[in-house]
Amino acid sequence: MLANELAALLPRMRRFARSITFHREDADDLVQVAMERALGHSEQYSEGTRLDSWLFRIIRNAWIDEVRSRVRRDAVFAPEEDGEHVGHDSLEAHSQRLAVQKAMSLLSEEHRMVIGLVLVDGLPYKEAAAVLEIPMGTLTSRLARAREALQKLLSEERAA
Amino acid sequence: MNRNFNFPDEILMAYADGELDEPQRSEVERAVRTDPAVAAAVERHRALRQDVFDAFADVLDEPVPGRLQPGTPGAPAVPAAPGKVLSLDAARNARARSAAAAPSAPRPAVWPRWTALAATLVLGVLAGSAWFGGADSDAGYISADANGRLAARGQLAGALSRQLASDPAPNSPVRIGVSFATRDGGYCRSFSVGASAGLACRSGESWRIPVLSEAVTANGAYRQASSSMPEAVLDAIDERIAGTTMDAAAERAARERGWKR
Repeated sequence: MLANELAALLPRMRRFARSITFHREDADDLVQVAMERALGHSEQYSEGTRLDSWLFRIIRNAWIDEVRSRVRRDAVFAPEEDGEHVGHDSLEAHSQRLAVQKAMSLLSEEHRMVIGLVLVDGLPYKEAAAVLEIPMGTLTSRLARAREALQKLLSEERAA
Repeated sequence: MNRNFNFPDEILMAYADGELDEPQRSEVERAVRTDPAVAAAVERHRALRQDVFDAFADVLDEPVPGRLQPGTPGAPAVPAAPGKVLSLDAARNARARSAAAAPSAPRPAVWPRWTALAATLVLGVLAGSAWFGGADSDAGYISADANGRLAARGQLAGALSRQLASDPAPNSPVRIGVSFATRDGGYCRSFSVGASAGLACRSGESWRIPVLSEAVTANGAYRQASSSMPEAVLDAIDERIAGTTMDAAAERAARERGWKR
C-alpha cells in the first residue's frame, strides 16, 4: 500500500521541508506538491528501492522547479513559532534551536539541502548523494563546506 | 608518529557521522585517543550534527495537517490527466497488487483509484503516442508484444545496435546516453529521442525496453529539474548496472560482438 507508506513518511518529509524553507506554511505547501507528484507518478517508484530517498528527491525537485519561486522570503520564522516551546524546555535550549534555524536560513540552497538530508534527517551519505544526484565525493565535500559555513554563522551569532 | 596530518577534515567528519569503513575507522579512532586536536575536531562535527538535529526535531511530533494526508478531502489526489512517465515493471507490479487486493477487505477510497490509474497508464498513454507510428508505418520506434512488453524497432533498434555514445550520429534522431554491462550478464543502453528517454536492454536479437519516459513540460506537470535523464531511467540503470558505464573502447568492442557476452 504505497499511499499508507507515503503517509507514514509525512513527519520526516515535513521536517526536511522545514529545513529547506523555514516557514511552516511554505514547508507544508512543498510537502503537498511533492505528495501530489508522488501519488501521480507512483509507477516511477521501483519496488525494493528506498521509498524515503525517492520521496526526498521528489521534494527536492518540487522545490527547485516549482515551490521556491513562490515562498515568502521576508518572514524567516513564522511568528507563532517564536516562544512556542518556552515552558517545554529551557530558554537556553530554545534560543539555541532558533539560532541554528536562523543560521540555516542564511546558507545557500545547496548547503541547506545537504544538511537537511544528512544532519536533520540522518540519511547515509550514499542515499543523500542519490537524492541529490551527485557522486559520493561531491556529496562529502559539499557537506564539509556546508558545515563549515554553518559553524561560521553560528559563531558570528554567538559573538554578536 | 603524529598521524593527525594524515586526516583531512572530511575524513574526520565522515568518522563523526559513522560513515568511515575499516581500516580508516580504526586509524581515526586511534588518533582520537592520542591526539587532542583530532578529538576536538571530531567533537565539533558531532556537536554541530546534534545541534542541527535538535533544531528541527520537534517537527516530527507535530500533528500532520489533514491537507497532506492522502485520502482526506482537499488532500493530494491523483491528477486528472496522468503524467507520461512509464515504468512497465512498476505498472505490472501495481496490477498484480490490485489483483491480489481485490478479494480482501475494502480499501481506503484513494487506493483503488490510483492503482487502477497505474495499471492503465501504459496502454492509455502509449496508445495515442507517436512512438508506435502506424502498424504499416516506418515512423514508429517501438512495438509491443502480446504481454505488453516493449521492444525497439525501426530507427531506434538500428541506432541501439550501431550508434556509439562516444561518437554521436548527427543525422540520427536517436541519441545514445550510456552503455553498460548488467548484473545478469547482458548489455543495456540508455537513449533519448526528442523529449523522451528510456532504457533498452539486449535480449536475443532485439532490444527490450523496460522503461520509457516522456518529459512532461505542461504547467505543474512533472519535469526534470536538473538532470537530462529522467529519474525513472536513472533508477532503472542503478538497478541493473554492474560496475560502471562502458568507455568508448568497451562500447565499440561490445558492438562488434553484436552485444553478446
